[in-house]
Amino acid sequence: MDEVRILATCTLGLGFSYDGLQKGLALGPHAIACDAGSSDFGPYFLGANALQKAPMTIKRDLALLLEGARRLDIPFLTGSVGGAGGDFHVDGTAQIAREVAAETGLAFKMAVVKAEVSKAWLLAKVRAGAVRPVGGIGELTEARIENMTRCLAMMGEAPFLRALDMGADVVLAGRSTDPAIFVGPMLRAGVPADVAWHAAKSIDKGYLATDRPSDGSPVLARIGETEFILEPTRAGSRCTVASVAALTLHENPNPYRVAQPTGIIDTEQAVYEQLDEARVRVTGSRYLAAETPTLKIEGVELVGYRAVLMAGIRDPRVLDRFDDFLDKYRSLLARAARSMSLSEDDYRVQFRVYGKDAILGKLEPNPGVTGHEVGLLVEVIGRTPEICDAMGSRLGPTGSRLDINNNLGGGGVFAYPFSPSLVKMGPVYAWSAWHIVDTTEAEMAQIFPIEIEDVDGRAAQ
Amino acid sequence: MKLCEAATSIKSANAGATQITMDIVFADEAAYRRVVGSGVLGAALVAGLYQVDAAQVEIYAYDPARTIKITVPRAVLSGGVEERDFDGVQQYIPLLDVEVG
Repeated sequence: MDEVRILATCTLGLGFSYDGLQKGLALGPHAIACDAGSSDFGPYFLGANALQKAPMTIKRDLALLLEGARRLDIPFLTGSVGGAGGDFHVDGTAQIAREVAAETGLAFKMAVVKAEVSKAWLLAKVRAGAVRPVGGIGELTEARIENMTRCLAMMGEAPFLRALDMGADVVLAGRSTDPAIFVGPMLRAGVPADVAWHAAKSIDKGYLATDRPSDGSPVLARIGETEFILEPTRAGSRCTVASVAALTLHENPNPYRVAQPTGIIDTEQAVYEQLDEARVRVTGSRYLAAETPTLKIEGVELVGYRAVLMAGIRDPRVLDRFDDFLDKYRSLLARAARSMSLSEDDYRVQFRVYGKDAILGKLEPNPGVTGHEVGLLVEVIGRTPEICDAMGSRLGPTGSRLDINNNLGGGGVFAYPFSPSLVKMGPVYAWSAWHIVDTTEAEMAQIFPIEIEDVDGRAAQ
Repeated sequence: MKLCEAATSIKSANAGATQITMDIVFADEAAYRRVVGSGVLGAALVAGLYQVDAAQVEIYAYDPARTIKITVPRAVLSGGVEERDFDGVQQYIPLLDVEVG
């Protein structure tokens, strides 16, 4: 088996070193790949059908990556596009790719892969007893499915392999596991799964495998039958044993085991060696094939509409009694709600007190107000936009005019930096599905639909 | 000595929407071995700091990166309505002052 070389950059739209990309291309990679999103941005982007990064920054990265891939005539693969990896995000990213082609005169065969799943599919899985929660989210009930705004499944390697087999030059995939985006070209070239999956996991965050991620160095993996070697492509960057080994730690509960739809990347016996100043060799990796393949699903539901108000409070006599102030403020807002015939189920008010316990809440070891000012973030979530607006209108006056010490003479205590003081944030979503679903090889091969499109920007030139 | 003095870096992040994971990295092998060997960073201590059930605390000593990894359940799912830190990046704070000898 010949060495397989994969060039990896970090999340699409986060930027990377231009020189590093060009040097990486000169090393003769067989494919370029990067991820393009994560559920770490929270449930909003899937629920609201919004791209998590601006088209301009996605376009900068995509233009350079597509140009490099076409120049070398090698595939470019990306997944979890648009941040959340829903159908809207896939369509939006495909449109950006078409624009890049039209602006640069590139032509390529593009595979567009979608990841959303239907409520009917979820219901069938629940009724078959094939769904179980990850962590404390609770069971996926039929009522929960009914209320769901959108749901998707994280694809593994199968759709990427299929797209490559269809002759795709460019693969834009919806929600994917990070290593799955990178592993396809390795598996197709005959790299054993044991080596391929750990190599893929080690480059799936691009420059996080280097010791100075802020340099934005792409990473080249040289993958063989029993080992892989990582090297940064930007001059001055380094891969170290610690920086490479840390990739299996990254946002993963267990450093030795990384779950995938078709198995587990097992690094318990992996050996990391510093080959020279900047390169690391890894041997001893394993991929433990699952008896039953599984898919992780992510679903969201609408919980209301949010408005927030940020106010600064400096009066030490108010800060001395701040818990009393907040209790009184909350009861006055409840009175305002009742006066508009709103029930407690119609709205929710929350305070986050910066300068007290806003970040850690009940875990804060020092929960008093010890500074000379606080930032008070007041939030209301209304069941409808109208309720949100109505309660939002009351937030500022009710709090600012609350004269807890009877010494303001009709004055106020909320110092606002902005006009308007109330920021309407629109719909609020929460994760309602975060589960593992049993599947089969056959189902994984057809559940993620692939559309092939010949993109030709030469005519636009 | 406090953990923040013995360790080179301490960070926290989400491990999915339902867990927070802390990576405590030691540049110095001896400091790493000392803290791991002391057993101070145990499930009972972490459970107390994070107000979770000790049975749900995962702790790993990961030699290749001289890192102690601690994973705990999230109090609220990431981005939920009671969220304070949806990336979980400041949730390592309760560990900083742990006395590690």
